[in-house]
Amino acid sequence: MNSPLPKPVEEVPVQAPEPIDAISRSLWQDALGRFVSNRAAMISSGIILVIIVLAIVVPIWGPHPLEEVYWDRMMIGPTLENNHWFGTDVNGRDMFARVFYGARISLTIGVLTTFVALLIGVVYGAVAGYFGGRIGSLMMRFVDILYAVPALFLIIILISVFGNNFVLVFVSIGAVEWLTMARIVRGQTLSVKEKDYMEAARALGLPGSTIVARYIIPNVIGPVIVYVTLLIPINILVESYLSFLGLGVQEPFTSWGRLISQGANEIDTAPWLLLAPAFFLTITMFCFNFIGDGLRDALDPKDR
Amino acid sequence: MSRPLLKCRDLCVRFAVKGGTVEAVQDLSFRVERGECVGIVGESGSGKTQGVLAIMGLLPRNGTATGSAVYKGQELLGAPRRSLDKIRGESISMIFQDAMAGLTPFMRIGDQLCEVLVEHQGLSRDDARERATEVLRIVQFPQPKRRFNMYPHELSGGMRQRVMIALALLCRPELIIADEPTTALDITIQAQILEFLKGLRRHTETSIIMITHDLGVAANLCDRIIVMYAGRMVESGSVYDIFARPQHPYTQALLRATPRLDADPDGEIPLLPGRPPDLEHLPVGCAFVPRCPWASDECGRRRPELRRRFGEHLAACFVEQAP
Amino acid sequence: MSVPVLTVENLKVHFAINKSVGFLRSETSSLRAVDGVSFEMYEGETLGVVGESGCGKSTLGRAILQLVDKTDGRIVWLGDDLGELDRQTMDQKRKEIQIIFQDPLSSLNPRMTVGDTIEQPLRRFHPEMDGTAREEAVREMMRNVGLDPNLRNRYPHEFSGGQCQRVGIARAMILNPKLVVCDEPVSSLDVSTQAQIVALLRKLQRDTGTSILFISHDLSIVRMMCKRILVMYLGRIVEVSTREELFEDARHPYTRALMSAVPIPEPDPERPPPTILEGEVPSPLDPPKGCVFHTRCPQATRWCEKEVPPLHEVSATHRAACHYWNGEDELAAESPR
Repeated sequence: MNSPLPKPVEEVPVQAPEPIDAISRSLWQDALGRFVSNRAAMISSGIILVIIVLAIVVPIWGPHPLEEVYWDRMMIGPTLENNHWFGTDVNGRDMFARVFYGARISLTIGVLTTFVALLIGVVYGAVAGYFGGRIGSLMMRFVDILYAVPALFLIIILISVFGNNFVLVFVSIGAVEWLTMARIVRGQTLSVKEKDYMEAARALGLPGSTIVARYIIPNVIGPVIVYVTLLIPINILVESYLSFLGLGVQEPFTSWGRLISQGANEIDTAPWLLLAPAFFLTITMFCFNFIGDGLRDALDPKDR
Repeated sequence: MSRPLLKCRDLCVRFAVKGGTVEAVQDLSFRVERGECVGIVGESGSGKTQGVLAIMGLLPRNGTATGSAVYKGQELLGAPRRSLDKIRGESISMIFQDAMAGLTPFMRIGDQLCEVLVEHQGLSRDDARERATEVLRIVQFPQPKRRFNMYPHELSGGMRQRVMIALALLCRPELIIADEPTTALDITIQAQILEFLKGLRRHTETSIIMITHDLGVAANLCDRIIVMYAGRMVESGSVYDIFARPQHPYTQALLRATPRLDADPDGEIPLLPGRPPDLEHLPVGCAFVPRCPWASDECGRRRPELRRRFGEHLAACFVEQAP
Repeated sequence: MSVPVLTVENLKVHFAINKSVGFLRSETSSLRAVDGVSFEMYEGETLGVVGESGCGKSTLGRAILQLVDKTDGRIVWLGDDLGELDRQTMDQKRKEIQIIFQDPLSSLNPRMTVGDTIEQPLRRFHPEMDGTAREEAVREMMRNVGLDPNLRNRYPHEFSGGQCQRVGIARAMILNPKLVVCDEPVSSLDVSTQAQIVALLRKLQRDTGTSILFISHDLSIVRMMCKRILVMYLGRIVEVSTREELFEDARHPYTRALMSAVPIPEPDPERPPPTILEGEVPSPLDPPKGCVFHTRCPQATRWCEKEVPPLHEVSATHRAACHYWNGEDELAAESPR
């Protein structure tokens, strides 16, 4: 069965389409897939979702209104009677409502402060990374100096000076927390700058805005997302410290931190006042951490 | 016939990946005799590196190896860590492609060399230092005494590779496994190192397994060649036979596609169309079918086994070529 | 002889390297990546630049594209001194000079589809084209480089190295540039894929008549691609000639050593061993005086240590920078004591 040698083919052979995936998957879709298969992360996401829903729903439609004072039922422990599932506090207010109202405040503050930090940090870090050189170095030295100052200390000073109305609390926290974000973004920008596709973009003479929008930011944002999810619980905790110290949100607002602070005073007589908010705070922290871990694993370029 | 130094039989290497397993090496069998240089030639995905890593017990955690690899009468696969360490240090040495990966970045090169000698040959530190310097000289490492205390990153690629070779030679191994040792180096440096390895073979009985994708390197150094494709051996024979009368279409195509300084530069470039095989989705039948000019229906249905074509020459193909 | 499209005159690219020596002190040394390179390129020609690591060939390519700043010399493109142009004008010129990179995967933005990557140059330089026209051009280009246009919305990580390189080529060629600098375009590919890409580049060059500056360390591949070849060593040109003259009659000892070092894929125990060069390539931070190659040259003499050899004319199309370009004995009389 002797076949003659086939003629060498000079024409360019067309590449056959990929036999495997019929659907194209971007790197984001790949990452989503990995995240979804991470059980701890998915369960944590579910729990957070439930807490968010409860935080929205309970203060509106819960068994008891938030501010209602029950003179005859002060400081009673958790009971099914009258639907005081988490008991009542020293002033006779239903704890179930208060815990989830506190959830609103704590979660909101956590997210908003992180958002402020994100905004300042990303812009600062991207600018420092993109320009590099002396400007970039100077900018980062400034960050280093600020780093040396204890964050909580700074926040307390800011709040003492500017007062603790709701908005100022989270601006103060955010204004201090952006430092790490800036470092992350700057580091990522520097490493992206070295990539060949950046040179390709310059070889095309693309305007700076296109480069930043389509080449730098999409490739930098991965670790930023991970850090954001880890920063949210940190900021919730910071607010809790402040509230514990009496510097956080004031009445009529309440947060987990304030609840914990109040509960701590009554720990001998009414431990449930402390346990409920502490429990939810802890669970939330854990869940955000698992989500952050899951995101980090999902966005890890190992598989590429 | 004397017992071969290394006898590998039905070696299979599997990796557990998301979505199943990948078979990187399937049913690999070959021998290495004393004093012989065997070249394992293949492109990416051929499994040439994984097979050898399996023999050395260096597979990553998600890799499993089955089959047998007997070295001087001792089974290497699944051998306890301690005996493997002993063999690896004293009898079989490995040279990697990326010298930065093979050398510890935070230890001075002198210390890395001495450590091996102290550990495996029980030399005193002074004796180790002397022998290490001597070996560095043998591998033509420039100014060994002066550079003894340097760190790997302070050296050029060529020098690092020489340190790797020196490390490999320290304990006078009987078998050296070199995985693309010169691929990352300049051509003139590669020429120096290949000449050195040729000299080593002339003067000692050291056997070498040379893994490479460069047919020029294989032609220059090896006595026998094994050609691998998609994890399997598709052809094996003496270096002369492989180049003069290749039997497998992949070998033939590879030889034609390899650019040569003595070929007609304006002639049509013989193409090997298609892409290297995707190990996660290997076809039924011969893996080379998508790119083979002679592929028939039978090739797509059944996988051809290795058969003796002439002498010691084996090839895995249904198509008969004129010998 | 026609007018050259690209003229490089005495180009120097030096990088300042700061090294700390001792406590709180640092010294600046100059890395002379390109150290006085002059040559010309003509329309539709394929010019190869060959050399090993540290010879400056990649830096040369990038300097021509103004991706690195030159330290001295001139780069004249179609009559314009590129170094004198302001940013805007230079950016406009970029549609005429393009580049293909060595590592196919990292030269593509992982967050853009390959179709968008190929389309990007059109968006930039042809704002008059509407979406449909652009899309059609992208598909046509993909077919030209051997990619299935239906894969347009895939991402680089879904392709193999060879396919990514085709995308890179498509991106570079879609504007129909007059010059394409290819920086080691096939070095990171398998042998079988290398042949495909070289064949593709040859075909595209023949079809479009674009000039190609092909940078590579692989002599065999350069030989297939280019009709004229420059050999570089430590930032200088040591030999320039037509392909035929280079391979039949190389005059510079480095070129000869380079050629003998290329392993021939055919076993031949009778073949003489290659010319082995002693030692390592000197550092571009401190290049040798006189002929840069003299520290490793098997034929070096005192003359070579002292005086930099100019590019002697071996023929109208062949020059070599060696005092002994014409054989050893003949010039013994000319060498200074």
